[in-house]
Amino acid sequence: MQPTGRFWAVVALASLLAGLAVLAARPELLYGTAVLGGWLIGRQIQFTRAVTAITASLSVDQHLEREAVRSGDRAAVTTVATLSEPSRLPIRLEPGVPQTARRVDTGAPLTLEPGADGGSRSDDLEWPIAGAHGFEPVTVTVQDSLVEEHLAVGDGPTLLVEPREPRRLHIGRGGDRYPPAYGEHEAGRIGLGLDPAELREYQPGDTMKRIDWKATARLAAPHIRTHEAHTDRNVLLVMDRRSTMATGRPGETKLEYCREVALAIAGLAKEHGDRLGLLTVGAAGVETHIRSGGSGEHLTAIRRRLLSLEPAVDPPVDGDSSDPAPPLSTSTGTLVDPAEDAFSASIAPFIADREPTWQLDTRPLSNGLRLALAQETAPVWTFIATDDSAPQEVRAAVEIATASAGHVVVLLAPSVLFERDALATLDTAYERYLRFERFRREIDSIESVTALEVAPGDRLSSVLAAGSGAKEAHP
Amino acid sequence: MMRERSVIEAFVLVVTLVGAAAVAGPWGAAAGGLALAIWYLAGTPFAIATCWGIGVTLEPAGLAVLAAGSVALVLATIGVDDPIAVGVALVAALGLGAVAWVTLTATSVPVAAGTTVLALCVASYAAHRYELVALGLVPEVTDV
Repeated sequence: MQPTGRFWAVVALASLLAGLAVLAARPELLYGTAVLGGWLIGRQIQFTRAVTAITASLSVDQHLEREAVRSGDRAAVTTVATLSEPSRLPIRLEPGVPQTARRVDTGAPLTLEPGADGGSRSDDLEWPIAGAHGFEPVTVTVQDSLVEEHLAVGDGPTLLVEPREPRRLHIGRGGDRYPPAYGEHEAGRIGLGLDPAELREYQPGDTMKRIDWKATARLAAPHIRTHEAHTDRNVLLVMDRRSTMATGRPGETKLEYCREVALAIAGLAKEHGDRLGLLTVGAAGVETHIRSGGSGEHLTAIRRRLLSLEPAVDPPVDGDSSDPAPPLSTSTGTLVDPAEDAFSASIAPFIADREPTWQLDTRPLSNGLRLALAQETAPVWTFIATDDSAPQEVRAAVEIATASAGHVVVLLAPSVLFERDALATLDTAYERYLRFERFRREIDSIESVTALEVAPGDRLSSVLAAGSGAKEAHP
Repeated sequence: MMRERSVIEAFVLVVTLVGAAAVAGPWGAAAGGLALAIWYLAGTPFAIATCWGIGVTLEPAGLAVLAAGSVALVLATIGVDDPIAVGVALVAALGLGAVAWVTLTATSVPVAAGTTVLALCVASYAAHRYELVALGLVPEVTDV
C-alpha cells in the first residue's frame, strides 16, 4: 500500500488539528484528530478489502500471437483481463513485456473502470535479441484517492526468438539426407600415422623406438606396432558470392546456407590436418584467393573470411550462355591479392597507377577456378558452393575441377527453395524442383563428382510433400 | 462507495448545518455552511477538520452538533455496504479518542497531542501491514 499525496495531506491535517489544540489551548480539537484518524484507517481497511475482492475475481491472460519468431520479427502480445465480479475501484493493467522487446505500437492503456467486467489491449513488439524471453506477470495497479497497490497477477508466457541463421539445413540428394561427404582418408598402406594398425615381430633394421614394450613383455618376443599412414589432402573451397546467392529471407539466403556447409568443411579439414584453400568469386571474377595451407592461423583466416562473406549486390550475370568459355583475358578486372602469388606481386607496381577498367567476367566461377587450380601442384578436393541459376557455368567449373585429378563436390542451392514467394503455388515449385534435381543428377553422374543439394529442410519437405500428393491424385 | 462526494454525504452535511443553526443560531449555520462548502471543494477530510476547527468557536451545543456531523460524515463516506470497514473506522476513532482523553487526563495538552498523533501513525501503519498480509505480499523469511 503506497500512500498518495492526499494521504499525507490528511495526516498533516490531523496533525494540524492536534497543533491547534496545543496553540489555542482547546483540547477538544484532539477528538477531531481522532475522528479524522478513524476515517483514514477505515478507508485503508476499505481499500484492502476492495483489493482482496479484486484479486479473487480477476483473471489475466497474456497471449502471444506466436510462440517462436526469428530475431528482428514482430510478435504482438494481447493482454486480456476478466472480472467475475465488477470492481468498485479503477484497475490499470500493464503487460509484463521483457526489457529485450521493443515496443513498435503500444496499445491503448488497459483500465477497468468501476463496474466494468473485463477488457483487453494489444501491444505490437519487435524482438531484436535471440533467446528465450519470459514475460513477467501482468502488473495490476489499484488506486483510490489515498493509497494505491501494485500486484503481479497471472503467469507470463515465454517467447522463443531464434537467431537469423540456417536452422534446418538439409544436405542431400533428391530430398534424402546424405552422409558426410568429407570422410576419413587413409592411404591404404602401413606407415607412421597415429591410428594403430597391427603388431609384427621385430625385424633387423627396425629402430628401437618403434618397439612396443608392452606387447613385447606380453608375447615374450620383441614386437613392433605399426600405424595406419595418412595422407595430407589439399582441399579448395570455392564460394560463389554473386548476387543470385542473396536469394532468401534475411539470415537464410543461399550464401548463408552454403556458408554453414563451408564452415563445417573447414572444421573437418582442421580436424583431419588437411591443407585448405579458399576461393571466393563475385560478378567481376575472383575476389579472394587464399592458397592451400594447414597452419592454425591459415585455417582461422579462412574461417574469418567465410564468416564475413556477404552476397554481392551487383546485377545478376547471365552466365547461362551457351557460348564457349571466354579467354582468360576477359577477367582483366578480377581482384587479385598481390600478396598471394609472385606474379601478382610482380605486376602490382605497373598497374597500381592505372585507372581500373572493370569488365564483368561472363564466366567468373569457371575462370576463377581455372586460375586457382593452376597454382596447385597436388590433386585437390574441390568443394564448389553455388546455385542453379547458371547451369552452363557450373558444368564448365566442374569440368575444370575434375581435370585437376581430384574429387569434386558440388553444393547446389536450388533457387526454388529460397525464393520467398516460390512456395505460393506448390505444384509449380515442385516442377521447378524436379528441373533442379535433373540438373543435380546430371552433375552427380560425372565421374569423381558428387553433387548435393543444400537447402532449408522444411521448405524442401513442403515441396516434396506437394509432389507426393500430386502423384497420388494423378498416378 | 469511495467517491469523494456523494448525495448521502451532502445530506449529512445539510442536516448538520440545520442542526448547528438550530442550536447555535447564525454562527452555527455559518459553521455548517462552511463545512459544506469545504466538503464540496476539498473533500471529506477537510470538511471533518472544518467541523472541529470551527466548532470549537461555538457554544458547546454547536460543537456537539458539528462533532456528531463529522462522525456521521465518516460513516457516510465509508458507506454502509462495508460494515467491517465502518466498524474499524468507528473503533479507530473511539480508540484514538480514548488515547487523547486518557493522556489529557493524565498529562498536559502538548503531550496528549503528540501521543494522539503518534497513535494515529501507529494505527495507520498497522492497517498497512494488515493489507500486506491479507494480499500475501509479505515475502517469506527463510532461515539462513
